[in-house]
Amino acid sequence: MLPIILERRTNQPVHRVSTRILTRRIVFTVAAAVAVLTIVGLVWALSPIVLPFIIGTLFAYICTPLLNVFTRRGIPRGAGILLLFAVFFAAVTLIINQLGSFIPDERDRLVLRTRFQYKLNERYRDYMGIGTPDQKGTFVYQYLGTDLDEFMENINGMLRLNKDEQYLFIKYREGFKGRPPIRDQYYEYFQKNIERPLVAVEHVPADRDKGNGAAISEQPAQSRLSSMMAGIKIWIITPLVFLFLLIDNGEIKRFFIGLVPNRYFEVSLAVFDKVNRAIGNYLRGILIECSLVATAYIVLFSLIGFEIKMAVLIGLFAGLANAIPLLGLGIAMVAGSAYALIAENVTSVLPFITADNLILAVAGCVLIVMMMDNGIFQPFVVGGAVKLHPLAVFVGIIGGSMMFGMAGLILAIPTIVVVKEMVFTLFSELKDYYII
Amino acid sequence: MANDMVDQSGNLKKPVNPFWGSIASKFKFAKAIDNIEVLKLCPIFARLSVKELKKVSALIYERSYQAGEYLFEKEQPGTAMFIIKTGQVKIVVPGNESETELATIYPEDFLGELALLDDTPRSASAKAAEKTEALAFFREDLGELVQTYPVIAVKIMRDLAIIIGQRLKAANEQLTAREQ
Repeated sequence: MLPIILERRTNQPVHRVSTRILTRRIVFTVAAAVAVLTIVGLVWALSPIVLPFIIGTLFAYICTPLLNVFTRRGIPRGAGILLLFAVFFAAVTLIINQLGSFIPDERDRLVLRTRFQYKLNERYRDYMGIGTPDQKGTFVYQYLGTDLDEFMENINGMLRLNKDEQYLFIKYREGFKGRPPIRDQYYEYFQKNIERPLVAVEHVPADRDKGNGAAISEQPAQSRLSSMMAGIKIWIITPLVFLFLLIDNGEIKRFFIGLVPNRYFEVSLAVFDKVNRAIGNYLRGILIECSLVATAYIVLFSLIGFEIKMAVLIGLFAGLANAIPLLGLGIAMVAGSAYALIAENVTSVLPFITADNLILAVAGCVLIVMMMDNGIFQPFVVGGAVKLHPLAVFVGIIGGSMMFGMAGLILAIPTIVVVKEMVFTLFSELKDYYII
Repeated sequence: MANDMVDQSGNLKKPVNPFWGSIASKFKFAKAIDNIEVLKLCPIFARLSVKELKKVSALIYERSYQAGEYLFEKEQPGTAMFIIKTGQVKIVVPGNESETELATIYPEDFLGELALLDDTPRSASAKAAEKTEALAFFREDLGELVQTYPVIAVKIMRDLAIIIGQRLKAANEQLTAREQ
């Protein structure tokens, strides 16, 4: 009779152990494949709620250390969660309110477009030396005039008010829907834009009467309400996710660790902890960095003579976008320059800054913030957090925005950071545990 | 006192909410109490009150091992300490052909406690001698306790230090006896 060979680890016959290992591998592989496919399918199908869900998760992640501080100070965990939730809810309400007042309505949009078109054309004519009919234009204009004119015509095409909008502008000029009348100066711009366009006013059907104009003005109010309701329906998830993740107290983590086979139990704990720490540090670092960048923009733009409202708006957007390399700089530069272009009465604390050189001041501000970010904020706040190759950043942003739109654009970099950290830590730990 | 409020031993029963009492997992509750009792018997947690033990029991992981399965292996970095709930675990040192058995760990005993201090490699392997249930206490959870409930963490660390000190003394005595 042949002797039964026993396996060292389990003291069971080798053939039985090998069959069991094989079965287990098949079960785990199939389960993992099904889980991955399900997650991908769910993310794809529920893409509209991915962004609110992730933002709730990020805030919960960021607030967890605060909750620990509360607990250490003797505040019960439940009370700490309620306090954080109240602060979160108040902050979201405040931001929505403030943003609502900052976001230009129909009248403001018409005025802004008129001002922007007028000022842009005026400055273009000044810079190119074609302000009066007898001027032949600068050296640059003589060489590149045709292309530049075409480019400016395209921009004018985007800014120009069509017949309905012109009709609305005139109505608002006299005071409409309880809004104050439009200033004479802007009406003058409006007239000059019509009298002296770079290109002809776009063709619109001539049968539009006054009634149609009024109807158009009513339509956005309705659609705005319905889109607001749709937004609330989706974004209500964010505070709920935030609340439930804070209440969770590690149960989700315990559930997933519970699924891990015994052999990988300790390594999974180590990986989870290291990834958790790295991502936490990265997110908290980025949040602080973005806040500092936003503050720097707000202060500097206010100093050079921006209206406080505009300085805050541009500063906040540029600060938020700073999480994506270069995007923050781009937004600050483009939005700041656009404002500098239409600014009328600049009252800067720095006497040498006027409306004419405001655009240079904006460039200076962006440069200063960039230097502060690279020299102070990033080394001291983000520190040794995960670094990404510029190519990965570029591909990530483009790919993310192609797949998930705005959500993909914003979340591409944090997602790449999470995946990179997970993969690196996993391989490093698997080597340490002699598993690979 | 109404009879339905006391059990057969005369102890007060846990009040059950008539609406969701049956829905809320009684099994989970019983399990939690069970873990607290196991923790209470473990010397490292002996000084903790029931309230403090509840906080610790929320941090532990329950693991189940078949006979012959390893809890951890020699030379691997340590991450967690294990407390045996049921079953038996043998501490072994793997050799070229066979394993040398150093000790057997029984329910309510603990092993791998040095992993609570750092991730230096394990000095021996731990293998389940029979079907075993163990509670794992993770080093980073102890670190989190230091942040959130320092009093509990200090009690655990103090007892851990005492136990390690006692083992060091015992090892010294054995060495001295061997030299003599």
